[in-house]
Amino acid sequence: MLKIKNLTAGIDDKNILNNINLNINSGEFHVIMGTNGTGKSTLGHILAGKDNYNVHSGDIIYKDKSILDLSPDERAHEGIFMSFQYPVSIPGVNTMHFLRTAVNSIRKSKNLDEIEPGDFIKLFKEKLELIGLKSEFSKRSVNDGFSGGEKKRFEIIQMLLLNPDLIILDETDSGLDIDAIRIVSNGINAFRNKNKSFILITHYNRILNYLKPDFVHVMLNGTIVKSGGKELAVELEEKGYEWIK
Amino acid sequence: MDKIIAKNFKFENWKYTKSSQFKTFKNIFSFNKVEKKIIPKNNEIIIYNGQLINNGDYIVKNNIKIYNIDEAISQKINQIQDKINQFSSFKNDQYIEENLKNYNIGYYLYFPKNLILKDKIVIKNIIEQGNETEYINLRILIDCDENSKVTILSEEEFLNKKCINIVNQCFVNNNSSLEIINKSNKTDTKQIYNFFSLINYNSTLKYHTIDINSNLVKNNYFIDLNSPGSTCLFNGLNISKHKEHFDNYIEINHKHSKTISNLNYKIIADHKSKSNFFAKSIIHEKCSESQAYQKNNNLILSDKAKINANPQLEIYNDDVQCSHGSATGQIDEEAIFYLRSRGIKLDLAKQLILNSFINEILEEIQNIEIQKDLKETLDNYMVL
Repeated sequence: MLKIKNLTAGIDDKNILNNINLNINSGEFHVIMGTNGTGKSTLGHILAGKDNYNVHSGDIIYKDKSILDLSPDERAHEGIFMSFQYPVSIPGVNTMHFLRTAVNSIRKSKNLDEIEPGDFIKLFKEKLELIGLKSEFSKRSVNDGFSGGEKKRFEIIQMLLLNPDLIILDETDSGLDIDAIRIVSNGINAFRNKNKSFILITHYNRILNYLKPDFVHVMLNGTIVKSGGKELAVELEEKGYEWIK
Repeated sequence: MDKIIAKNFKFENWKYTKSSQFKTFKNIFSFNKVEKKIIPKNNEIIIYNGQLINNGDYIVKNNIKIYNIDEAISQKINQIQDKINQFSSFKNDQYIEENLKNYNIGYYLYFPKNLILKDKIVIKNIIEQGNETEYINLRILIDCDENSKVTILSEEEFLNKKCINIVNQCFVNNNSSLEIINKSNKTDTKQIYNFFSLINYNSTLKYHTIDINSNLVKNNYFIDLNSPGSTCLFNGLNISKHKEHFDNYIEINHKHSKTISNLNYKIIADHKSKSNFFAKSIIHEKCSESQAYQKNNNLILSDKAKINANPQLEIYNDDVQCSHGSATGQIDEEAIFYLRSRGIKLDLAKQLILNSFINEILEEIQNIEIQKDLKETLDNYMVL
């Protein structure tokens, strides 16, 4: 599904990512761990198409096509979704209106009719319930006055409604209490199938008790220095990153 | 006239507008009488080219009276002259003096005691005549008597090129609540607008003004909070997309203890437009336990657009609660990226952000029907 080939990228002339190579097949769940400031979130933003990063060399192949020239909205239409580490507040934009606009934008890109408002409300409320949020949530503005946990849950609701194929979860577990990690993980697990691929960026092994990864990668200084299975995450938690350096 | 304009230009509230911009305000336009049959809706008062055309049944049924101002003054209706004399600020302003002496259109609207209106009243002022070399003096007095509750939607349709000099005055008497929503369509209009309000004991004025689609606009608002419980909630929005010049001065005078003002003003400026926000909330010496808040947020969408923001508080009493703040910036790129990452195209993402910016002002309008109507108007206007 996704092939990152020799990717070197950063801001202006400065490299943040150095020669990254990563292959992710359909249905696989990959975890990226690493010290602070090592470029994990930058990788997520570059995959999602943020335009203040420059790709200096290499390529990103998604569903057999390069996506480097696609805008963030075009990438979302192709099925790429990023759950933000720090979702931005947009006062005045209603959550339900925002999500219906997003769902309809993606439907339109696939030549599908817009979803009926009544059907959308029903669907939205179902997802709210699944992730443990009250229906009053639909009256609030996007991320405005949300607690840290509410923001992360709302990201997962967006994922469930937009139905993407490649999901980048940028520290979805940070700011969540133990119960919330379980609820959010259950939502993610319910969404997993052989056609969906995941990249989870995290600092902690805790969420991996609920989300069983296929691969764990360690990123240091903008490059992937080690890859392994779930046991690598356990080892990192015990030993830290020094032994890899 | 030129000398007098120069005098006006010395005033602080004329800081951001040049007298030469109103050089066409010399000769007064005379309306031609044209018969036109317009059937008002139940709740409408229609003024067409200066003539009061007709009133709907709802106006008549609720005993709302409409007089020619000259007639009201000469017949001493409701001691109107005494009330007018309570306004002091306008005595040095030439445009106001000219208006009060030589108004083409002047109506006095009286809302009687204990009148609680469930439906809004619409004042529709349509001016088709006029030109760009002569100016029209327009004057409206609104008198909301004791224990009344009234919502007025003021719709101004000034078609073609016009020069308009407006003085509106408004009295909110004891224990009353008046909400005024200004909705206008004034493409190519040059306008000087002066609004005065006296708010009495335990009374509230909610004033919403939405300015779009004009050429040159100088607005001055003077609000006097006269008694304990006098409250003013002032909401303003300017949207300029082309080369408009909007200049807004808002002066709120707290003249008694326990008075409250809350001012929220927003500007969106695009292309080569120029917008000014200058507010002054004054709490006088013996006005303890008063509250005055000012909030101003502006979005600037082009390198060539200009915004001047000047929120001021003058406080002469130390037992008060006050705050003021002003922020001007561009559209938040992080918010745009967030929306686009959900599949929303760039233009629509910008639209959502701009709508969210103006919704804060619109949502203060209590009448949901008017709020929805304005949202629709602005959604169409804002299409990039």
